[in-house]
Amino acid sequence: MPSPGCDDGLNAVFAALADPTRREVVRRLAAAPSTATELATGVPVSRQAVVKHLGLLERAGLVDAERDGRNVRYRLTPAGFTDAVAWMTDVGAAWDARLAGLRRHLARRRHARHD
Amino acid sequence: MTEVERTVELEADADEVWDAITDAALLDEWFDGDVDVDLQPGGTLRVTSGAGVREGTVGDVDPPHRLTFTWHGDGDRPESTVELELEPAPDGCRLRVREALVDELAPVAFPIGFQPPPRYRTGEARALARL
Repeated sequence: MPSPGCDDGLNAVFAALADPTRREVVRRLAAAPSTATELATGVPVSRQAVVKHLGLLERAGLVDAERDGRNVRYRLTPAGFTDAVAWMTDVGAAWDARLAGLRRHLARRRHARHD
Repeated sequence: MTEVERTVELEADADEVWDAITDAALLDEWFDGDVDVDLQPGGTLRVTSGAGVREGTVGDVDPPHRLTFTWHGDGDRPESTVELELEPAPDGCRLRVREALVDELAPVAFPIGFQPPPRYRTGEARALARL
């Protein structure tokens, strides 16, 4: 079980999508790559706030930034997201199984000592 | 950052847990796979299990606190680093595991209607797939 507050990539993705403004940004980027200025029109937050949201989305692996002359254009990276989530899910499950096995092993040894 | 992290509290002290995760005879008792490891920085690691053979290289070895290694990439699985850290806890110790991809799974914009890519394709494989 992921421990509460554990800061892995999967939690970062869910945290990234928990905010309604970020979800709106993701929806807009799904339609077309955009600059922060373009994204800031029609959302109830400042351009500065949009840039912060984009940074968080980028760190969660959901968005990619590309320099286009003087502009930075953001785009959604759903394919990488899908693969990354699949990897995290599989590797997470593997570790959960291993750690459960370790815990059982340690419990067996503890009980054997007390007999 | 594509990574996975787990932290567990274990009712055993760090020395015992260290042995359990590094000693071949003890690993045989609980680990789902046969582990062959040269436990020193740069040493080889080989795990044989139902899922096949996985090879890697040991990184840091600092008993009973920290062990790291890198899984080599193979056809199915990308290269990743694993860090295991042990610290004392009230009822024994706390084990933190972190496994992270070395190369991010680079995104590519696929045209609408494209079949979903195979799992875990790295940037290089995706570039080749576009040729």
